[in-house]
Parts: sequence; C-alpha cells; structure tokens
Amino acid sequence: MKSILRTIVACVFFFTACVVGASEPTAEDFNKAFAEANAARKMAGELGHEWRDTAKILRKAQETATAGDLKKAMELVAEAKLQGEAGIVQAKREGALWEGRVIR
Amino acid sequence: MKKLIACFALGCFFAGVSTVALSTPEEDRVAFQNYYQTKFSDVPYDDFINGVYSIDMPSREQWQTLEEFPPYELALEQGETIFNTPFANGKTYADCFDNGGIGIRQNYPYFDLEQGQVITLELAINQCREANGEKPFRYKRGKIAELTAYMAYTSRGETINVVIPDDPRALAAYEMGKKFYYTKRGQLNFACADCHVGGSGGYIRTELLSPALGHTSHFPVYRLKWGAIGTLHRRFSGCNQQVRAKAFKAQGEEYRNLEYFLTYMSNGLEYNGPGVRK
Repeated sequence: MKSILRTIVACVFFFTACVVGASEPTAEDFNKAFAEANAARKMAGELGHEWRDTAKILRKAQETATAGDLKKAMELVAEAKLQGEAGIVQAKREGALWEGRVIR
Repeated sequence: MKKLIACFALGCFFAGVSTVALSTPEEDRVAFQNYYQTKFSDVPYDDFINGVYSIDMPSREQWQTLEEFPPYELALEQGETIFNTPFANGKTYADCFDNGGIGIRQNYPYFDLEQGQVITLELAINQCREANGEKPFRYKRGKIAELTAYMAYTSRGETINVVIPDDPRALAAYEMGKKFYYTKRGQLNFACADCHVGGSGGYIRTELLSPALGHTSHFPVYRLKWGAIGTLHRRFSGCNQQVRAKAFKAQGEEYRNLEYFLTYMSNGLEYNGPGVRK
C-alpha cells in the first residue's frame, strides 16, 4: 500500500513539474525554438514556397519575447515553424504534382 | 501472359509520361487556347484580350463606359513625356529600342541569347537607363508603369509575338514559367491555374474569375483598387499574396519566366494595353 502511495505522489510531482515547466519557457527555450522556426522558413523560401505571414509571425514572436511574454512568444514561434515546415512539404509535393495540371 | 500485360501497361505509362514531358511550347499554346475556346464557346477568339469583360456582360458595359474617358489617360501623357525627355547624355529611349521604341511592346518578353535570360520591357527600360547613366525606375508603379503604358499604346492592334528560340536556356526559362503557373503556393494552397484555368468563369466571393488567355495583353493596367496604373509584376505579386504566399521580387527571374510562359500562351491575340480594371 505504501509503495502505491509513493508511486502516486511521485507521479503527481512529475506531472506538476512538467506542467510548470511547459508553462514557463526560458529565454534559452525561446531562442532555440526561434532558430528552428526561422530555419524552416528559410528552407521553404529557398524552395520558392515561403508563406506570406511566416516572417511577420516571427517578428511578432521576437517582440513578444522582448516584452517578457515568453509563453505567448513560444506559441507564435510554433505557428511559424508549422508554416515553414508546411511550405517545405508543399514544395516537395508540388514538384511531383504540378505537371498533372497542365492543359493538354 | 501476366508479364506481357504488365510490360504493356508499363510501356503505356512511360509513353504517357514521355508525351507529357516532351510537349513543345507550341503544343502547349494550341492546347491552352483550345481549352478556353471550348470552355467559353460564345466568346469570339479576339475578345479574350478583354479579360474578365469577355465573359462578364454586366461589368463589360461599365468597363466600356470607363474606357470612353479612361483613367489611364494622364499616365499615358506622362509616359509620352518621359519617353521623349532626353537623358543627361542627350540620348533617349528611342536610341535603345528597335523602331525607336514605337510599336514594339508585342515582342516582349523575349529571350536574350547574349544575356541568357528573359528580357521584359520593364527590364529593358531600366537596362537602357543604366547604360545611359540614369538610375533605374522602381518596377511596380509610377514612372515605369507610365512609360510602358505609352509604349504599349503604340502597339495597340499589333499581334502578340513572343518567340522561344531554339536554345535550351530559353526552353528552360519557358518551362520554369510553366511550372510556376501550375504550382500551388501559399497557405491557401492555390496555383495561378486553379483560379484562371479550372476556376475561370466561376466566382471567388463576388469576383468572377477571368480566363488566362489574353491575360497579359492589356498591361500595364489602371486598377480602380490601386487608384493608379501598375505593372504586370505588381499584379503577379498581389495574386501571390492573396493566396498567402510570399510574393517574389518584381522583375526577378521567377516572374519574368512566368510572364514569358503566360504571354506565349496568348500569341496570336492582339495587344491592347494599357487597360482599366476593377
């Protein structure tokens, strides 16, 4: 019985730590995530598939982080990264599909 | 027997692929023009130069009224003045172009074998300016649009005649333009062709989508939305942004190749720029 209780308490501490950790990103977390998102944006751009708002979202993320709201800044960076990665996927997919649309 | 059928199927597949890959620009153009003439069988061939007004009769009447006192008239006058004003070295635009720059718009863009790239009229104008010690114009609006409006006006009634020379670099530029036209981009995942091939004649919100045939014949255009005259690359840029793609640089390689492909598709139609659009 004691061991079960100990396990439950340990789990509660662990998940609490995770939630607290996730809700309070550090500047280091932000910089790392920003660099990854920006790299995805650049790669999409090199392939000719950067989306219109990605750079704007990254600028907004930087401003938000500078203002001290790292949680919101991380959300923006995640959105930008998703856009950059989607642009890369779009470029690869279109490389194979565009010819099928040519008027014959 | 199964192997034989499989081989036959594979052969058919590769024959199909090679046909796709080997379609010539002229085959593309004929198929392109046939598509629109079939889709809009009531529209006379020569009328496709009027863009959406070839298929939208209520708007056509308003447009024809606008054309009686066209809002690009002032730009035309300013363009003529720019054209005739000598550079600091005493030379003029007429010195840079065939036929003194008059009635030549329909031959642009062309592939320059020496430079190894597509030359649009706007690029040629700025090359002329720089060769004569002048600063280049900006590419989307203002003086470049006014000057090309005047030069376009002198080409009214001439037949669009874009040439793809027998040179692999020219063919590659054409193919890049073609690929651009049919490739989906941006967050909304749209290709130029989605709106102006399959979607032509349909609506996006309240806007009737124009056929791509004749799309480049009337540029530069005075758009009521812009409240000014603007270039084709400004319009390309706007289209890309509407589908939430990052626009490319005006007169960059991407848009010049796109213009090369798209104008070639309208070969045989009359040039009727400048125009006025919503």
